Amino acid sequence: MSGILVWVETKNGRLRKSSLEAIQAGLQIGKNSEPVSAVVIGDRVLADHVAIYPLKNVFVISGDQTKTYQSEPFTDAFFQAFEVSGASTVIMGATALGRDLSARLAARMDAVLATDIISVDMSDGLSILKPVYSGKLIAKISLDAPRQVITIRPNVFDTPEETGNTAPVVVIEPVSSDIRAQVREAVTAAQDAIDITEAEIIVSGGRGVGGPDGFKLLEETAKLLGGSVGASRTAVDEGWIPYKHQVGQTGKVVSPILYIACGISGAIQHFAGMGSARFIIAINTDPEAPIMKKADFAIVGNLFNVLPALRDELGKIIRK
Amino acid sequence: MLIAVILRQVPDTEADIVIHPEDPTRIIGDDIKWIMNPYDEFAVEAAVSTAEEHSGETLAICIGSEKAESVIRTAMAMGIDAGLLIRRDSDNNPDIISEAKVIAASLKEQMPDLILCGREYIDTGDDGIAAALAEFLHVPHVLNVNKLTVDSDQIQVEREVDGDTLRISMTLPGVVSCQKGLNEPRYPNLMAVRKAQKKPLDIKSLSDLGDDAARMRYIALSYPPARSAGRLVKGEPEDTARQAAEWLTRDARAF
Ligand SMILES: Cc1cc2nc3c(=O)[nH]c(=O)nc-3n(C[C@H](O)[C@H](O)[C@H](O)COP(=O)(O)OP(=O)(O)OC[C@H]3O[C@@H](n4cnc5c(N)ncnc54)[C@H](O)[C@@H]3O)c2cc1C
Ligand SMILES: Nc1ncnc2c1ncn2[C@@H]1O[C@H](COP(=O)(O)O)[C@@H](O)[C@H]1O
Repeated sequence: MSGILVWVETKNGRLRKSSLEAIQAGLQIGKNSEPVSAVVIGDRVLADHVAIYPLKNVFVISGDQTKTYQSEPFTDAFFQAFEVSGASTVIMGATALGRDLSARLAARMDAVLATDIISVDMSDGLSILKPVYSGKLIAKISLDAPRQVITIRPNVFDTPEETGNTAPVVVIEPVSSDIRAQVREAVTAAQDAIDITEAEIIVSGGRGVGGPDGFKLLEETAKLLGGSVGASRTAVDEGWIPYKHQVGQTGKVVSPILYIACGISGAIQHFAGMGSARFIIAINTDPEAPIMKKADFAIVGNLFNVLPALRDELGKIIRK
Repeated sequence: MLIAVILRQVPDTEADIVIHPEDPTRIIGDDIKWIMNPYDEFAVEAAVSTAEEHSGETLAICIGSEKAESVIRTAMAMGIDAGLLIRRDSDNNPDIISEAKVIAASLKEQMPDLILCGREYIDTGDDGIAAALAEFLHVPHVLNVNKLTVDSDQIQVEREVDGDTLRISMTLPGVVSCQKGLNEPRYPNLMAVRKAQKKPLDIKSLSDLGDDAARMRYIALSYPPARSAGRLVKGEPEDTARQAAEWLTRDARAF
């Protein structure tokens, strides 16, 4: 191995927290003996925000084709940085775009790809831990290849300390890419909520929420707590809330600090998606619902009475 | 127009996944029901309905053991014309990039115009097959599409990223991964199931397609820390809510 390269993903002109966590994962793998560098594609200004972390270099590539994410120019750009850096390991957050870039890049690098990992183990070569079977098991997997691409699950690794120094910024001129999958239009969603895969707090609703109006209460609560709204498949299938909120085996796997399950029974397919939350609070009228036996704090009651009260209580804490 | 779908056989979502007592690198596979990866159903439906509309041919490709033939037959019952099963006897290789390379090699003689995958494999959680396959075939890709229309040598697709909807034009040939919302996968009737048994199925082995040694290996599988029941409270909403908030700040130290 000869270096670690981290993709710093930006959203609306800001660094994503998962990219800082990827730097931390890189430092952990590098163990002070392998340098960690970062790659910023698209936004030159952001390089300075990244350079305060313990990095060897910050590579910046910006051009007309990399103003917003598109698979082909971003793969080309990252691969350029990869070749310049001489690195052998690439790390990025397992975000929607991280998943897109990492796979194409791994193929180009002829690397192995380890996705959505939750831990690294350096005791005997490089191995990683990742949930498999939608979280029903954890697999320890060795990576026996000269090159590897790793994506990390958001909210699992810490963020790195700032150094007080600034890492050198290296500007790379982009090549011109052949863009055959071209983004024609981006329709931005009205609300600016955090994607549930990255949210630290998720207020999630199921059949018990009863309809789209019920979800308004969950949205208010999530907003107050700075979190996002999740849902069971039943709530999604009923059309109460869009699919992108679905948590579970055929929805998204989430790992927030706090998951508040409201009117959700906790079926195996749902639990698979949120079982690794650090804390689970469940609100359910039925004390026998499976979720009540898995939650850290289970409240027996009608969510329409309990959630507003909980919202007010948590609001007090968070304002402090 | 040739349309290929990439399939995987996975344990049923209801299945209890049990680690093999003699070999902690694998699960007990014999007692559980195996199904088509749920997202692959959207890919099969998209392939079949696109082929119907544009008078195309369809091919399903699956890497798996002998029993994986059944997912190809299911795809055939849904309307896929032909199948290729790439036999693999060891399950101890989660290397999705090698898989993509093998599938790319299998398509050398007859390059499809459109290749469809499911969004993600629900067993390993990998979602890299579509983009990696596209890279090996030197064609473009779009992941997680929930809308797809074909006009001659180009397709229009939509995908969602962090709540934004992207409208993307992609030239063919190319690879797309399919997300829930794209379509309603059809249920095959009995007649279709019977006819599927007679459709052509080609079987190759991984080594036929130049697969090299495993670069990733399961060292061990383990169960995640079990979540045991925590506190259960009932009573007035105000009281229970206050207790929950106190627990979160004092005992759980979440904030
Ligand atoms: C292939 C497959 C994939 C699947 N994938 C997923 C997936 O990704 N995600 C997912 O969530 N599910 C998934 N499912 C579905 C899953 O099996 C369950 O059917 C679903 O999770 C149940 O949703 P629910 O908990 O909202 O509803 P229910 O099971 O009906 O539970 C509703 C709960 O709300 C409680 N309740 C009712 N009213 C109130 C009230 N006023 N206040 C408080 N509590 C109340 C009830 O006591 C009950 O416990 C999948 C199923 C299959 C077959
Ligand atoms: N054996 C199966 N084969 C294919 N799809 C299935 C199967 N079982 C369930 N489904 C899917 O799951 C949905 C019904 O699941 P549910 O709402 O959980 O009862 C159907 O619309 C199908 O899409």
